[in-house]
Amino acid sequence: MMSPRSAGQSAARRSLVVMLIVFVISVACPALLPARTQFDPAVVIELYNDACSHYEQDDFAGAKDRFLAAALTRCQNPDLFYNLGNCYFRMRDFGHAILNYEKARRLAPRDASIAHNLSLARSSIVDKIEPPHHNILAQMLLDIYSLFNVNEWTIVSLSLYVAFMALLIAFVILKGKPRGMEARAGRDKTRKIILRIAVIFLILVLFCGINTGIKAHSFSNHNYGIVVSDLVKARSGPRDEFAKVFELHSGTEVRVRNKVDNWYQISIQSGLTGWVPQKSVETI
Amino acid sequence: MLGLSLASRTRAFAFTMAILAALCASAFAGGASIEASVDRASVFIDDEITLIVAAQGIDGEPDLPDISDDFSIVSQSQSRSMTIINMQIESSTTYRYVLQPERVGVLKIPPIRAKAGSRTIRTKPIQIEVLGRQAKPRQRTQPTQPWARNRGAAFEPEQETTADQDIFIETSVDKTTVFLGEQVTLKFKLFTRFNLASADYTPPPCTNFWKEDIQGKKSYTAVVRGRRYRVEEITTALFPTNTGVQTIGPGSLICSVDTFFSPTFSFRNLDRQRPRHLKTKPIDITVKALPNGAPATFHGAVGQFSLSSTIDKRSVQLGKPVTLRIRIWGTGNVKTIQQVPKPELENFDIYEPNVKETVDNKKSTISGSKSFEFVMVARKPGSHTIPPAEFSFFDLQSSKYKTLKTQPIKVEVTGSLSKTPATPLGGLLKRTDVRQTGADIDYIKPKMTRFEDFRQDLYKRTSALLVILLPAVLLLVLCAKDVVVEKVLGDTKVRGAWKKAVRGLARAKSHMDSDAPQEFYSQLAKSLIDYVADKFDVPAPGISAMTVGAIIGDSNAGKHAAKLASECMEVCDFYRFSAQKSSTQEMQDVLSRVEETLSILHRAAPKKETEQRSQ
Repeated sequence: MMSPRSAGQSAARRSLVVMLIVFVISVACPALLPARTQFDPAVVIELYNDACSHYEQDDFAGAKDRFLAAALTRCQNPDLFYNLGNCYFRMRDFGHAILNYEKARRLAPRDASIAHNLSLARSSIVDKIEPPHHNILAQMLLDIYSLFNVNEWTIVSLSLYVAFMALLIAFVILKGKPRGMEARAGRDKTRKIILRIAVIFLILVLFCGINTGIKAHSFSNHNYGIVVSDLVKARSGPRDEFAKVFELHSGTEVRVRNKVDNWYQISIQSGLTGWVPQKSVETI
Repeated sequence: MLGLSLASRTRAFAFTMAILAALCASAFAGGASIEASVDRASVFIDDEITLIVAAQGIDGEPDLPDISDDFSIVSQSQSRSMTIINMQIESSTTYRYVLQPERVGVLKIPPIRAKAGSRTIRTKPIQIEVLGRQAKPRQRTQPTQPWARNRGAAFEPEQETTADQDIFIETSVDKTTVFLGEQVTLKFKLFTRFNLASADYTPPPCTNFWKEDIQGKKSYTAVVRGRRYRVEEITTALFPTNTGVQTIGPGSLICSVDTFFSPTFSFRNLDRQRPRHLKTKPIDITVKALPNGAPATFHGAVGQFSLSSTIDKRSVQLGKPVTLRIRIWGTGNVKTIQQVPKPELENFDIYEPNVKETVDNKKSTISGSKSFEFVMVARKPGSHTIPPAEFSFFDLQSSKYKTLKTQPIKVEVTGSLSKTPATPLGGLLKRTDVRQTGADIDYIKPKMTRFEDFRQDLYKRTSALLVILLPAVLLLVLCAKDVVVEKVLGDTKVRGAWKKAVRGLARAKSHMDSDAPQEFYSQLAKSLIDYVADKFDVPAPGISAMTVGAIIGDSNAGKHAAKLASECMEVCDFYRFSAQKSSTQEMQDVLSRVEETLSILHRAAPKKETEQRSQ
């Protein structure tokens, strides 16, 4: 006959094996399914390195054209956008510089050089728009949100989810009936601990999941844009005949709310809303 | 004041006390003050009005509120001034704004704010009545206050001659031809026969001169053209920084005199109480260039200087610091003395010097000293010689360049480097905060050797969906398995137990006719115990006549079955472990009761675990 202790050990071993299988599958799956690339990396590398050489020789326009050609392949690389931003900055086109720094920051949000150059470019623009003030909690949540890019948030959320599910599975496996009062009490205590940890993980999964969702939505919907024209007049409607409501200068960040024909309805942080020609704003 | 009568003295004392009280009040207010006033409370629409803001001890400039709807600012000016009240000198700044009203009505100038340290001070709001256009041709309106007549944009300074003056000012210099960098002493003198109620002094503009104020204001009496004046004298040392004819601009003084307390008071000269604007004449100074042939060590010092070089210790342990002090002192502008070069010593680490500068501006000729303290750490033991330091200057007495040279200094360095611990130099070195002097973007990222794709589509990939679904499916499978196993295995076990119990009863029956009733009762008890153990999932050794009732009683079988089982177990135990014989009838009776118990238990569904736990 199997003793109560050995029955408990067997259950724990089983739960461990199952958790291990779940983790292996979770980690292996993304690796098994490679990302679909629609460009030739060798071409991008050649263009990128050629552009760097031009930049080193102070040929910023030449470097910009090559970086731009690499960017047009629709590849996503923060270094590429950062360097392109530098070219625009040197050419004193702060609107495009900020646009590309923002694109780079979306991919590499913790890169100090990107943050520095973006800050410097922002300090060079005409429009002074004060960022909104947040309380400590809101600022903390915003800082956490800005810490990772979409992929990183996805990985964090999925890892937490897998851990949460592993805990639930362990909880179910430990539901078996060990013989003896002592073994049963031990099993119940373990299940209680697992349940509490699972609740914490559930909260974390929900928090990270929401962040991932917002980030992914923002990334795919191109809600934000940068004014790239030197001066753009925002009008009350999507035609030149409408009244001018305010003016914006190159480099100002706007939120794109709507699109009609070739006009964007945009709003700025101060709350002003207006319609600007589509060509004057590039979405991030 | 010797000529003052007792009544005049009493009046003067009372007036002084009142001023003192006002000064004390302002001192308790924190030393910073701002006041705003206008030259007129009522003005025609096509006239101008002067807003005067007098500020003292504020940071930066006062913040003029937006009055563009009511007034347009025609011009603005400011003057730093020294105010003499009861012979106490205070510095203040006066801002003048000439305003043109834009509309008729009672207009308001909101409070003007200024920052003084951490707090903000403000003036009181001012109301101005603006009337419609004047019927008659426009004339410059006279100020309502006599003292205000000379203020504002319409003000034209008076050039008063000294002929009939009771008050006048003048500036003078000790020389009009100097070398570049040579001191020119500028004296500003105020001659007055009155007590001054207030005075705003604007020093002469001295472009192309290095300015150094001489401390200490002189007050004395002097007789000019047979008249006795009290003289206030302010001295400034000027050092020309450019060659050619340089002009010291006119200095000015706006003052109001107190003739009421003056010994010369009479009703005839009441008009003299009005504010005076006095102005000095500009002075041209010819600045000669220094002669050619300056030595290489000359860096612009002009005057008369001395040079010395000292060291704090002649013998020092290897790795320990030694301080070399080079001092230059004398008359002239020591602030123009540039840093002396580091001594050239191969076997020493020499750090940037700590520079100390003292300027003596108490005398009419500026003098001072400048010292450079070099911290040096020897890298090699032995005898080392610190080379002489050199310093050149242009000597004004001989009108020649002079080069001073110190004596070489010998230093003995003892010990060996391997045995000497490193000495921290924190306390000896001149440390300064690192300040940002410029800003530029970070350089581009380096060239690529391998392309890393940051495509942000992980959340769209099938793998992510699999990661979400797989654990969920696994969990569902486990839950389903649990239910199925419980159902299927439970039934199987119970069915097996029933078959086993039936077989056990058959075996017991086979012992009924034999001479071994113990075997009959043992088989009967075993059948019952095994069935209960399997049915209720409890260990068989723990089941006895005493516990079986409780085990069955907890189930859905009911109390009757529990009682029957208990009684059967008791009878079986009695005949199993006693020597007493039992009749066949008794055996048959117990057998039928066991059968009844088992059939009740077989029909009854076992209670769920959760139900058992809650009970």
